[in-house]
Amino acid sequence: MWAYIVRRLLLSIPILIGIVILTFLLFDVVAPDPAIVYAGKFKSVEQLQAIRHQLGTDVPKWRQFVNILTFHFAPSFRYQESVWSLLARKAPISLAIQIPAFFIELGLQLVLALFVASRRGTILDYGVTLIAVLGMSVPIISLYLGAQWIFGGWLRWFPVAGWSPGFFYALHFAALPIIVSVIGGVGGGVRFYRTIVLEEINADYVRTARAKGVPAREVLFTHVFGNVLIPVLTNTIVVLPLLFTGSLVLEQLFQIPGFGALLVESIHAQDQPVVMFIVYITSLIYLVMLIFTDILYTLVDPRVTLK
Amino acid sequence: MRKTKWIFFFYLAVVGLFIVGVAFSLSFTPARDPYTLYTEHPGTIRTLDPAEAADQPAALILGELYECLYNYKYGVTPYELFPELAADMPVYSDGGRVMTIRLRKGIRFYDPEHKVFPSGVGPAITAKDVIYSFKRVCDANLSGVNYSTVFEDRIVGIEDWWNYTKTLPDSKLDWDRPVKGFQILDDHTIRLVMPQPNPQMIYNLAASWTSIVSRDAVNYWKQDFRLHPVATGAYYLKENLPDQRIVMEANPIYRGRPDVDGDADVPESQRLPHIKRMEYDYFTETLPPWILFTQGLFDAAVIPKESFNEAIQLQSGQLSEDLVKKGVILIKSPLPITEYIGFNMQDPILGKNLPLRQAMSMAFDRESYIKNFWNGRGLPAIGPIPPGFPTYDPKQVNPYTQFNLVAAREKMKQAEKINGGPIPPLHILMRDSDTLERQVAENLALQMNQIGLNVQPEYRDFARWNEMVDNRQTQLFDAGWVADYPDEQDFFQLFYGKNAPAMGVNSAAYVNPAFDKLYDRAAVLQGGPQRRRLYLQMGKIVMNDCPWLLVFYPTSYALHYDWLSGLRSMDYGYALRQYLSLDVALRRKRLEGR
Repeated sequence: MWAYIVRRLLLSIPILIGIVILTFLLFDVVAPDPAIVYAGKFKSVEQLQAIRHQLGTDVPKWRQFVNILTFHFAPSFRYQESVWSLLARKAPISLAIQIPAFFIELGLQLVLALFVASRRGTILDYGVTLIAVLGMSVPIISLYLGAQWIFGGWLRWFPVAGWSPGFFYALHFAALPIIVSVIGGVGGGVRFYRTIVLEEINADYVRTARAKGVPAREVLFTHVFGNVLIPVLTNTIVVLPLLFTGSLVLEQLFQIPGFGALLVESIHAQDQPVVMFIVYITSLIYLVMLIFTDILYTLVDPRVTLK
Repeated sequence: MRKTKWIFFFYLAVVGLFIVGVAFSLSFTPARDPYTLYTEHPGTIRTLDPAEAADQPAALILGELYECLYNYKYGVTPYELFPELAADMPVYSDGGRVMTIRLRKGIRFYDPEHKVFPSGVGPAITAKDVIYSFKRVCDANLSGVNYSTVFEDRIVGIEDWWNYTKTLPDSKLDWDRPVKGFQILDDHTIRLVMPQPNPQMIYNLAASWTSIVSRDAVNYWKQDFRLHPVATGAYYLKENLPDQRIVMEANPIYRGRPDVDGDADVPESQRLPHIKRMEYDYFTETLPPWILFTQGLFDAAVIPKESFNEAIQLQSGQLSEDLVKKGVILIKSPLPITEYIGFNMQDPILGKNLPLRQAMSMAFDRESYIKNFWNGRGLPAIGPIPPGFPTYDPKQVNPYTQFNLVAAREKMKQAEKINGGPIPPLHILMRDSDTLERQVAENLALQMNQIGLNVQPEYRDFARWNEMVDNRQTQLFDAGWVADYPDEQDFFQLFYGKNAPAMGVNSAAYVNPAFDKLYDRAAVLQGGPQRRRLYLQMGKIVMNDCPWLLVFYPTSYALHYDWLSGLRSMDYGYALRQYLSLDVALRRKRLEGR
């Protein structure tokens, strides 16, 4: 297994470098000179040079690239703050929304999928599937804006948008984004896991278990659920790195000062260090998580070995 | 089975805890102070260092904290300056090349954190502080974002100082190194020496970029000075939560009015600011602050485009009855902005073809454009100068801004003759790619199609648009200009030949020696009938030459509740909030039962 892990880690390096090269080139070729963005209405050559110097974009491109690869990120152009400090400030806010939303959503998806799959063809199955498809069909922005209007503006159950430090104040502002995030994401998962559960329910080992007189509930929760875990792992662990980057649209609309909103605003503001940093770090964690998923397969399913 | 069951129960417990936590947290509504002004703020503050800030969101905050030598009289139009940190208006000599300015006495810096000055009260402002602040604007180490706007080419010897700052880091600069154009005559008198008369320089001394800072504070905070203002304004920075909110409270050592000396005895009833605390919440989206305003949680707001029909009656243009009942007041005011479509005069097709530009201008239906895309919030443009300037005349007739398809088609015949055949497709560069911008571009293409022109839109983000326009890499480009000060020169510089090369503000690269001659004459004149005549002539030249397809002058629709009084529409100036008042009882009464 260790040989496998080392091999996968080594294979990840060129992928990571490729991602960084691609993003770097996109900024270099497609994006305009950031100095122009920060120069204001009246520009002069002198002034642009000074801004480039301050932003650190006047050093050779190869040097900038090596700096990024070696984790020496320039400070954010927009915040004039270290990207690591931005991470420390904003990632916890994104996580405060994403972690509860992720676990509630995943649990709901699995429970509903198991429930409706075990009652295939009944009104309950059709009803839940219909609601799930409806949920998938509603544009996510409409859902968010609708929730703001109804629950924030009209019923006033939750604040419309914003954020505040402190656990309960944060929860006060996080509740509605978490709820709409769960509502928006649960449908797709229910449909996906229902299909997987149905495949397992019709497998030979399930029929054998039933024939042996194992109670239906135990068949479902022990035999079926155990075998469903592999696709569940595949589906969930790879999204873990995205938890700390937050939801781009959700944070933007609900004015949550997390990492997702930061990424959107940094792209708009040509804040190259921040965008490079987020892309690099997310890719890195994503690649590590992929390896981690493979390792977990061996724990969930003893038949799987890594060579 | 047992393990799975426990996992399930654990999950239910987590969800249950979340629900209980949410229910509990709903009682944790952040406290609202009845004496605080609540409103939205449009963007993140990058820096609160006047020398480094060049954006509008920062200017709005800086203006409440810092003070300049001059400011605009509140609520007075036509706009008039008054001496704020200066003791009186400047005395001009040497044909207008020298400005001598006396300073007020006894105005002290306030340090809210008691770090730079342990008692919180700093020394009184002197001429040294003023010159130091001006030199910082011209410091290459601080990127000099305002250097070109304010002092470059406008102060004798400033280029030497700028080059000197490039050779050393800030900490090693000799801030007492003389600059010929920045002179300290005594503790309370400075002199600015300019290479040529510059009547607009005084407006720069009323812009927040030239606010006076404390040298001790800069030395203490170093790089972090941008987050720790030590200033003399009506408010001080109480709290700055990046991307969340900014809170300002009344400066306890403020002199009570901006137009008096530090030791003036201002009666308590007249002392400013009236509102002792202000909280600005950041919003980049327009819907949430609008909902908060309709709930009465924000005291003032602008109307987002998507909620316009909810707020304004379409037929009458008046406020909706629902909002009137809630005590909302509408302030409509023309903005000092001209929206236009620039013709790149260096383009071989557009630059030499006056009838083509005139035809395009006549084929554009401004009335329907304003109605359809801006909810009627604007006036059709007649000339480059928008309302609010002395030379703007709403009765003026410009034949090329009147929608006239017959005349436009006639002009097109001349245009094709000049071109030696049909006009090839033209490309317009749009400064965004959002829905509105696409609709606007398609509308323009349709309108131009009526005179046989094929206009193809290209969409770029604002930064790329900026770069392409600055480098004259476009044919047509949609643009707008917001006046920086109440002098027509701010618009006419956009047509001045010396500003036509790449990066210059004359984005259309328009060059007309007759115009330049008039501009040169007007540029050194103080306001008066002679300069007004020159401005009128310059305006006529531009209207005839059509380097811009003039589109419209936007109108601002701002709302506030009747419990907030003293609000005036001000296009320039800063420190405006100190004049506002809150009727706390009325607010409480209106919000009861909501």
